[in-house]
Amino acid sequence: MKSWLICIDDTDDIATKGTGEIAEEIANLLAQAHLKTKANSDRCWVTRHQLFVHPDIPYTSHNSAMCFRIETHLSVETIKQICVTHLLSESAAAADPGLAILDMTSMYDINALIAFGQSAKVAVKTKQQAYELAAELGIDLTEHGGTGQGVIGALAGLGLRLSGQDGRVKGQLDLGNYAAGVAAELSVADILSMSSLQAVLSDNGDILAIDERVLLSGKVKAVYRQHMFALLVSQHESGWVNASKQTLKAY
Amino acid sequence: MDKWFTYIDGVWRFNFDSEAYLVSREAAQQCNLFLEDDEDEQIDDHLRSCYNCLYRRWRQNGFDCYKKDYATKE
Repeated sequence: MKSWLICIDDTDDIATKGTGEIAEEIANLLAQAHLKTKANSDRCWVTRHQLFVHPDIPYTSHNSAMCFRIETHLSVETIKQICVTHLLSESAAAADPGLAILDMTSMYDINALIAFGQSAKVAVKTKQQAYELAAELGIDLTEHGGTGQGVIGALAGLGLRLSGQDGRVKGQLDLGNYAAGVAAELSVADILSMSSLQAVLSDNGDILAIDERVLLSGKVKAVYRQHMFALLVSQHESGWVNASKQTLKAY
Repeated sequence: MDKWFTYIDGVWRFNFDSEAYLVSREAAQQCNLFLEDDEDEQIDDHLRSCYNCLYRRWRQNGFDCYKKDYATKE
């Protein structure tokens, strides 16, 4: 079984299905195809990676790429066919979709890929740069409509995910009986056991001990930091609370 | 409306940066066309905020409103 990292970008338009939703659907389709030959599959986390916002970049409204990892026996041809079919079916007419597929067991220059991702957060990159790097690293990078400008973000998203220090997890965490409308205090141990998260992190980057307690309220979201899927928390008075959207914005 | 936006090249440009949460909420409260964006793209815990609106397009330091027929309750 191989590990694959898949990233898509620029699939939506205002008032159409978002890129994150399409990524999640592709991940589910791949998982379903995988399950035909395998008994189970690990949870697939889709991460959102913010890219550079600049007048020279034709993003829809926020310029972010969506990335996920999957472990499967499926061949690269099957993986790509599932991704492309869904992209063509669900992308907005005005979109410029890009798709990047990385075989994580291959020999590739991870540092070059991470550097490209980090650069795409602060500088305007070109399609040519993306295609050249993809060819050099053996990454399957393809465009599927419009200008195909999404290949830049798709490749950058792979690098940012691999950096282990970028991105918010799509969606909200399922924490058992916790409901968004009612505040509840849970221990870190409880949060980890109920969510399949790997850590609870303070916004200073410190890992909370398992006996620390966190007051949860509103929507609870995770981030990807220190190569872990983590609940981000902030200090509030004498305790910890889940991070606000204003705090999560920077992730 | 002029209090919050300036009309430039067919879009309404927010007169403030991306940290003016109270102003963003105030503007959205007065807008008939507010529509919440995908939850993953929201950045304000207060839902009715232009920062959370489907029709805002981020700029390097602020955003433009792409709802051409922007209207107020006034």
